[in-house]
Amino acid sequence: MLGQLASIRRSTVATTGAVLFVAIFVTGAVAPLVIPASVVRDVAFGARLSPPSARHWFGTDDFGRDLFSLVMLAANLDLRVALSVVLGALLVGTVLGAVAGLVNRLDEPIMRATDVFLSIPSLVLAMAIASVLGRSVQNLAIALVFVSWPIYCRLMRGQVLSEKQKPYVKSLRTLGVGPARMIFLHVVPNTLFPVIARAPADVGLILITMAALSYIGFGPGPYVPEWGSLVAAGQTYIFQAPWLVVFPGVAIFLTSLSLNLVGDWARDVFDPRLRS
Amino acid sequence: MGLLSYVARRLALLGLVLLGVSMVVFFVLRGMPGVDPLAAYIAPGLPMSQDALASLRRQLHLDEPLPLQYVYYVANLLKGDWGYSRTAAQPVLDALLARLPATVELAVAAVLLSTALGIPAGIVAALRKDRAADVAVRVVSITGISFPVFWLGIILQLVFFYYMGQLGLPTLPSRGRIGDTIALIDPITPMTGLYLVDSLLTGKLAFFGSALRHLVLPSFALSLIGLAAVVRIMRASMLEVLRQDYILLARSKGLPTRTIVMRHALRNAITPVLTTAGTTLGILLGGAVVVETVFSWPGMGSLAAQGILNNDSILVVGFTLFVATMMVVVNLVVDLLYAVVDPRVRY
Repeated sequence: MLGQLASIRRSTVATTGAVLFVAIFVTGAVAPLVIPASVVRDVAFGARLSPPSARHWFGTDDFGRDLFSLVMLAANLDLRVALSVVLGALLVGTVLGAVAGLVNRLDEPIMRATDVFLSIPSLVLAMAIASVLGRSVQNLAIALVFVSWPIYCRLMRGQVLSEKQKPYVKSLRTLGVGPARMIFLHVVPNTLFPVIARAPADVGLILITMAALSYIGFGPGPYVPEWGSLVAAGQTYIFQAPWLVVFPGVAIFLTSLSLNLVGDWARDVFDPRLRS
Repeated sequence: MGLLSYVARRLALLGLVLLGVSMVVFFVLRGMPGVDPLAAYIAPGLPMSQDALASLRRQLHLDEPLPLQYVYYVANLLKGDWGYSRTAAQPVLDALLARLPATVELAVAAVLLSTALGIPAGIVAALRKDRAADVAVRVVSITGISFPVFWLGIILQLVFFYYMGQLGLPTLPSRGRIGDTIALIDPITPMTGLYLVDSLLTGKLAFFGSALRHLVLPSFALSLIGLAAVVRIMRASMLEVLRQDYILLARSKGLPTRTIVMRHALRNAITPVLTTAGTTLGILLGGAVVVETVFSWPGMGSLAAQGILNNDSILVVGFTLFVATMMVVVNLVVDLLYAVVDPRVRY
């Protein structure tokens, strides 16, 4: 497994993606510590909508705030939400999938529920859930977990079912290994990697979905920087101050590109059907 | 087993899936912890007395146990009563149906565009596997899925409407389905509601031209969502087919590559792309919410987005149910067509 992880260095494209993502991640983590909160709060109408310059690299928004700081600060919220949503979905999905694969009685009900969830387009379902819960970033994240777990569940169940058939399980059972030990120490670790291999690309997808939903109105409002809401706020001034839309959008694009580059490689390396 | 019993079984399955979908939607509407379902039915800030609230609650059966509420809910859905939308100021189902053609026109154009671009790209990538063209296709499709579509839509407006206009070049419209002037002086009589079809049927070419020009940017932006998936599936399936013995036979007969690919391989390789068309359409309908908002396209998606801003959950949830139903039905139709067309499918 470590050997497979190390093979990332042989892929220039994936390495580029990984380096880019780490850079954005560090930016997001450090930004709130370095950039004073007053940048977001203080409005300066004299300096509103000024174009990119040496003083304001990305220009200023309609409140006269420095867009560069806002875009950097937004990395924090966007990455935090995208990562925790995928982590939550991964947790719920793999546990339910493992249960479905291991407990015959629960297989049918869990998988039928999964089918139903997968038959509703996820962005549309997330919209409905977040709308009923009330517009806030937290509710948006809950809604996204709600719609993202089924794919992991289906994948995990398939993995567990095929792993159960393998000869080593039978030999270990003959050796007297109990069911709990078998499941947690042998079967689950072997099934987990192909499931986790989906995660990087999914973080990218969730990031875009979240930005899109926050663009159409689920955003946190003007005093909490978030990429999708920044684009929405900038759209009003698109012909007058295009930088307001361009920079936050480029940030979303680069982040999701970096994750997709890593994800593309991860799928190739960990997909059991492609492994020789 | 015959085709008829296959169809019957699939229809029964369709019923079960729709039942499941209605349960999920009902749970979203009524079962969320900490949310009073009554809130969805009243405009925020509307002053209402306790008595009025209680009587509304009774009238909507919200005081009954959940399973009974579900029965009322499904019965109402089947009667066509999907609730009343404050945003559209009309019943939810009427509002959605009125805006369905605009969304269908956009989504179908996007599906056609993404298959028209994706199938050749996938074929080229498979034929030139691991060489420059393959890598290029792969990079372009990864870049494509990384674009936030709402952002790309705005950038397209900026370039093709504003900058081209500044330079005195021909521009593409950035908002709406039709030019205002044409809609006023030479309107069409709606038949299908699809502007392209209606204008052709009535022979109004100027209207057709305007509608087509309005469709270009939004459908292109939307098609990018499905494009990467089409390319990936087409490439994988083409590679699979090219490994088959009958392709080897065709090669050894000395047939030119062109004939082998177009006549022998493509017909078999293309089916996975077609069977995923239903799922792609579902993804595109989700994307339509965003794209319609960007381009002020008067479809179901932009209405739902307005509903979100108005806290009109009845409308948003109704939209979800509508889209899910559409997707389930389209998937069924695709599968049935597939079974009819491809004699190798065993039901």
